[in-house]
Amino acid sequence: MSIVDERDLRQQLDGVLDAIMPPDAPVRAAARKGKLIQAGRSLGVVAGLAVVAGIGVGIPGLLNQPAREVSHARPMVMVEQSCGTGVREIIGSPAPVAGRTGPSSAAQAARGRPASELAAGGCAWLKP
Amino acid sequence: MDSRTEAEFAEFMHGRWPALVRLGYGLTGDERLAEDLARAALAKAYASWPRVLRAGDPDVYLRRIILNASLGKVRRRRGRERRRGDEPEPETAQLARADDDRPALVKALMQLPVGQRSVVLLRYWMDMTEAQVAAVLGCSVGSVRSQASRALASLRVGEDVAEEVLL
Repeated sequence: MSIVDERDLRQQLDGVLDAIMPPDAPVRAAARKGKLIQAGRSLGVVAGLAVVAGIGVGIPGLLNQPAREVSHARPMVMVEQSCGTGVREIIGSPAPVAGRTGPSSAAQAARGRPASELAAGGCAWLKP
Repeated sequence: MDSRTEAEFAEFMHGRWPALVRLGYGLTGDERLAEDLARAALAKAYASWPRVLRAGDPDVYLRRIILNASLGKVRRRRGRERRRGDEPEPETAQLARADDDRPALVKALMQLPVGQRSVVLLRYWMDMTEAQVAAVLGCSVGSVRSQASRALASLRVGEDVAEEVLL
C-alpha cells in the first residue's frame, strides 16, 4: 500500500469500499426491530410516569402523617449537658419548639424555658 | 407510522443501505459486523423517524448512529476485559486477523484509533467538509483537522514500516 496524498487516499478508499456489495436492505426486519424499540420506549415512559406519580402521592402522605404523641413520662429531649432550670442555646430543632421552627427562632423561643416545656413541641438538641 | 411514511422510510433506506454498510466496513473491517451496524442504525432510525425527519438531515443521524455504535463496541469490549482482569488489548490488535486477506488499505485503517478512522472515512471517502465531519462526530473543526492530519501521517508511516520490513 502506498498513500501519496489526500487525493490518492480518496481514490483508494473508493476502490476498496465500493467493491463491497451488500445484500438487499432489510427494511422489514429493521421496521420490526424499530417497532420493538418504540414499544420499549413507551414502556419506559409509562414506568417513569408511574414512579413520578408514586412519589407525588407517597411523599405528601409521608410528610402529612400526624405527629406521634410524646410521652410525658419520658420526654424526648436530647440534652448534651444538664443546664439547670433553663437553656442557654439551642443549636437545632427539627420540630416546632414553642410554636416556632428553625434554630434561631427556636433559640429565641427557648431561652429561659425549662426543658420539659420544650419537649412538648418535639425533639430538640440543647447545648449548655 | 402511517403507510405513506413507511413507504418513504423504505425508499430512503433502500437508497442509503449500501453506503451505510460500506461505512460500517471501513470502521470495522468486517462485512458481517458492518451489516449488523447498518441494520441497527435502520431500526433506530425507524423508531425515531418523525423526529429524524424534523431534524432535517437523516443522513447525519444515520452516520452518527453507526459511528457511535462502532465506538460503543470498542468501549464495551474494553470494559469486559477490565472486569475479567485482563490487560485491555489495543483495539487495533483485535481487528487485525491472522488469516487477513483484506486489502492493505483496510488493514492500515484498522491500525488507526476509531476516531481517526471515522474522520478518514467521512472526510476522504464521503467527501464531507471539515465542518460536516465535526457536526457528525460532535467535535470541533480543529479536532477534525488534527485527527485527519495524524491519520494521514500514520498511514504514511505504516507504509514506510511495511516497506522496511520487506527490504
